[in-house]
Amino acid sequence: MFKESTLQKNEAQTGQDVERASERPVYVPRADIYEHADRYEVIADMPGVDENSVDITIEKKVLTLSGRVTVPTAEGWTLRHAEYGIGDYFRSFQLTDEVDENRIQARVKNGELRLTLPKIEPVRRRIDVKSAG
Amino acid sequence: MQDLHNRIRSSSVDTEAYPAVRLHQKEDEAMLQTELPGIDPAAVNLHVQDDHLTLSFERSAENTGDGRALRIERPVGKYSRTVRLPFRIDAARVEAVFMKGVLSVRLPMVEDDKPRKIQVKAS
Repeated sequence: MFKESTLQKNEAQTGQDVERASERPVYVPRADIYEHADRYEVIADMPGVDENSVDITIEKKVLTLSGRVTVPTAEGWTLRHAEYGIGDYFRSFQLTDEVDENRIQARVKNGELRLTLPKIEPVRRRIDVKSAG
Repeated sequence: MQDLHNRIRSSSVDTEAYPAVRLHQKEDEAMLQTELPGIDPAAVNLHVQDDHLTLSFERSAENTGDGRALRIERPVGKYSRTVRLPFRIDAARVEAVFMKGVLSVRLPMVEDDKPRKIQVKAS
């Protein structure tokens, strides 16, 4: 499904969704999305991020994930070889009307963010049928 | 593809091997870092022999039950990567720490390979 060459971190392109506030690079976290009968699950790879450095916002049906990497840098070490960069994460998703924004849950473990987006429960209305007679 | 190559060049990434690593150095040891988000640290195998370190792990597919995949971008499968250092590694003193999905492995040089200062005696 994935070719080797697509496994590297994706740096966000400036000017699209991301406004860079610093020289730190911004990466688009790799994500999986699953749909269940009652919910959506979003799983995003955000290595270096924990529950205190991730921000999840919803505005006008747009879900935005941003994460600040706080892994201790290699202080006192000289970097000799780098195949990936270290920076922050940013990605947004357009939500459908069926997502219940008030019940979204998120957790982070081992640099992996998991979001549960419950669907709005269908409203069932019972119409009383009166006898005409 | 073209786009990806340009991006890699612009980010000064040297290779397309996976998992990508960063190598640091201090006087007589090296430190390798790699990003393994969502991986159980107990399922990561590290093997050190002479001057090389082999890192292997498996990332299994999500158990989604009745779920339907709308998008799959995260890699699934068995991966292995061997990194060769310019010195022999003291396997007994290798230390690995896994934090927030980032693995850091300290690789000390064997005593025999350390640079030694030779005292020149007056005859």
